Amino acid sequence: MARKPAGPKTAGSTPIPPVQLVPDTEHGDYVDGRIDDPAALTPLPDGPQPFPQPFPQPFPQPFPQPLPFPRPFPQPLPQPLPFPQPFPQPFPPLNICQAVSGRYRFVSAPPFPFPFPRPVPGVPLPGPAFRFNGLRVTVRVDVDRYYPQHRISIEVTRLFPRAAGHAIAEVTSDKCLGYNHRRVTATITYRDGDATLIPGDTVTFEASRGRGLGYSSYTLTLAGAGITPRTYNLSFESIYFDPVEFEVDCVANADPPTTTMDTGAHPNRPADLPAETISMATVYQRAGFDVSMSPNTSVIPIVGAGANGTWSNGEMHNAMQAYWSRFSNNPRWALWVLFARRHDQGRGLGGIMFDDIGPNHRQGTAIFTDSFIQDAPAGDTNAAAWRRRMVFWTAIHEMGHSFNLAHSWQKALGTPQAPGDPWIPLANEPEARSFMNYPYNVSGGQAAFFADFRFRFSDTELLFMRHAPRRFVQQGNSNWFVDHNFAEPNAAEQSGRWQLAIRPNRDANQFAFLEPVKLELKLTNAGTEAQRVDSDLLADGGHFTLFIARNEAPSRPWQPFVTECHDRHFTDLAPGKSLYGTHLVSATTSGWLIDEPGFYSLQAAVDIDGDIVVSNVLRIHVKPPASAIETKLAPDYFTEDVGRVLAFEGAPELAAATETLQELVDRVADTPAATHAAVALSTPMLRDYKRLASDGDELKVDFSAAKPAEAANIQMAALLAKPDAAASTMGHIDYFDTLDTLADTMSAAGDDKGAIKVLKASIATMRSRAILPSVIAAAERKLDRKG
Amino acid sequence: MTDPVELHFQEGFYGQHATVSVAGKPAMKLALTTALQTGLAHVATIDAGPGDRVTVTIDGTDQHVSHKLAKGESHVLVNHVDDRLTLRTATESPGYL
Repeated sequence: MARKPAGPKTAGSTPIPPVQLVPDTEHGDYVDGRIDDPAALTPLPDGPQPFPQPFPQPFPQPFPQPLPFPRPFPQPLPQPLPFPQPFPQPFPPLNICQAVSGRYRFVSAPPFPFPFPRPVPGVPLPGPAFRFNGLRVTVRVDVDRYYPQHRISIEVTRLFPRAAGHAIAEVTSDKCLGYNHRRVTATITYRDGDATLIPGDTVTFEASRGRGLGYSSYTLTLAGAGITPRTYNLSFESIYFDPVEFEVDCVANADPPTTTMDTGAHPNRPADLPAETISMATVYQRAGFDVSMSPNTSVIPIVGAGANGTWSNGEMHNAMQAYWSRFSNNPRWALWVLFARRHDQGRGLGGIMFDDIGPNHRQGTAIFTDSFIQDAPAGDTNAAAWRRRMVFWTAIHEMGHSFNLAHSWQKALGTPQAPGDPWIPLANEPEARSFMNYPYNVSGGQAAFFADFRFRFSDTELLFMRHAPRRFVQQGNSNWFVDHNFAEPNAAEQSGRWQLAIRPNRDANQFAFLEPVKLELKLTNAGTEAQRVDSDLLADGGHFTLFIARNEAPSRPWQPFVTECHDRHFTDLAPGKSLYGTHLVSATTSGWLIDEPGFYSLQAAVDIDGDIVVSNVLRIHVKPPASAIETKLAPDYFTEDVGRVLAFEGAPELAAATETLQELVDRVADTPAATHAAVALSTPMLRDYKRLASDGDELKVDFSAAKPAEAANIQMAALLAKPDAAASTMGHIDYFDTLDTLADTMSAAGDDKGAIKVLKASIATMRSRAILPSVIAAAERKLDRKG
Repeated sequence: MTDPVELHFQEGFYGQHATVSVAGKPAMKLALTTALQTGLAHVATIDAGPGDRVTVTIDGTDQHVSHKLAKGESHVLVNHVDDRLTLRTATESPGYL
């Protein structure tokens, strides 16, 4: 569908009243910081601290009256600090703290690569190995400014292994300990996602100044519940909690959009409500959002609305895709607002959040200017102002639905039949003076509603918009009215130059019990030009990081049994070309990571000269034991020594492990685990196998003589009897390498006929499994040389 | 000839089927699902007037609600809240937002 061209358009002919706001500090709903009496505070270190000395001079004009705090307080705080004049004696014993509400962030920085690479002339450092988890902590502090909800919410996303957690803490203590030294303590009351990312039960946010007068240092400390306190140094990001962009378009035959209104225009309003001209942006800014209004407003020609001139939800959805300059089927903090004349449903529908269609809900909303919202009550003293207020109110109301806000009387909805549940247990608010209530449904009707309406959302709505898991709120994310399901955390920024995939060489991601899990890593140059990369990046297990988690248990790192330390060799990978590596990931140096039936998630990452490339999350299933024998073998099998024998493809000195694997081959021969065991038991026989032996008090290197014929018989039986199954369980790289080595060994032992048989079988299996043509060609050349 | 009466099925319907009867005779069958953005499931028009009894029954259950229309009652509002049908009348069409 054609999209309208970007650029400013005429949105209507009626001039929009300009926004004229009462300064925050003079607004009755604004809380600017905090002043505490040091005498009421506990002693240091939690108590009062002296004012900075010397205090800046001269002092400016008198401190605005009236005190006490919280309002009014100048915002931003002028420099130097205004203080009473004439200067009182003694110095006023007050601790003054500016507002701290807003969004803060901690982002972990990649450490030095580990192990640190050896420098290679002409090759940039750092190398590929790293231990970096891409942790990002976002903190929303909500204790002052407009309608404070006295909460601190914490959102933690970990890039690798991918996980996300969210917590909301209720403020239990808020102290101004000294000049611009604020400490807010809160108790966690809500959790979502991975709780291990936000341990403890107590949250302390502290803002303090450095050498200047303003805040310069922010920390968040997690403590309690027996954990070692964990502190993050935060950066201040914004006085708002999230950004959002509104685009307002209108249909040619509708009234021009009502995007502003004078709160003092209608006489029926709260007596202390400041008279100001607010906008859509004002309302949502005060709700905590950094609002930007798209300049790409449009007038939609009426011919596009169909012959009947009214709009269905589907037509509006289509119009949204055509006319919204930012439309895309993705979760984004953005909303399309359409002013149209009338809905198909008739004059009784004043507006609707129509976007519960398709995969990404809540991105579009509409207001109908020829509807009952124009019907001022008979005898109203200022019908024009009533209408403007009602249209503006309706616009904010419908936009509120796009933030997943329910009607005030639907807060508690959530039955087995209902399509959604409240995100936390909520009570209905049928009398709320909120944008989300119907004015005419409260006791006393619309007159009673507007007499007490302060152009705001209720506290429970603000709590939701500011602190609920963002997927619940963000447009295009959770479905309308549904806050279930857990979105994947935001992927950290990646260059897109590389793609990393982790996969098994099999159709289904399912493994048998006892079957060692071998996985292939594939790194592809996703750029447009050739890129240089370490040839051993994936072949050496020490050059990438892999995490494995069983079900929802915490992730555990996988470490290879051996890490090679060598000069770096580089390959120039052409665009679209890939690098491969295969590894047995079931076992690691600390034991077995995959040793029980169930589901496992695996994810890998590599650091390529600072470009952190994260793989897909691979989910595999391990089947239960297929027989009582497998169950019986399990305790002896899932040991570190067996893991080593399998990883090193043989370790004859580990007698017990070798014995276990032999028993496995003997008793459950027709299993994938037996294939691995057979290879591990026979590989040492392919060569004169060195071993350390004692000779009296001395050690010496001894060896077991190669038994190539015996080894060949074992491996050919294990690998060629059912080649497809063997290649599936061993992985392509290991399977074909093993056959290649076997063929070489047989040739060296004079069995060229046997070697040719192995190579032919290998090539046939390669063809049947769609191996890269270049690999098949290399194998064919080798076969030709033998022939 | 009577003026039509509007039946507004509002909150609490999640796929139920309902039968509307006027003066004891089935007038229509409806499948109802409330659109939570508006709090409205369906608006139906029936030929009924003062003195006529309007009955709404949730099919397959014993839940029903009945009302004898009075003069001026042009709108019947039906809700299904807490597993119970409720009915009230209005003289003007309710608005939805």
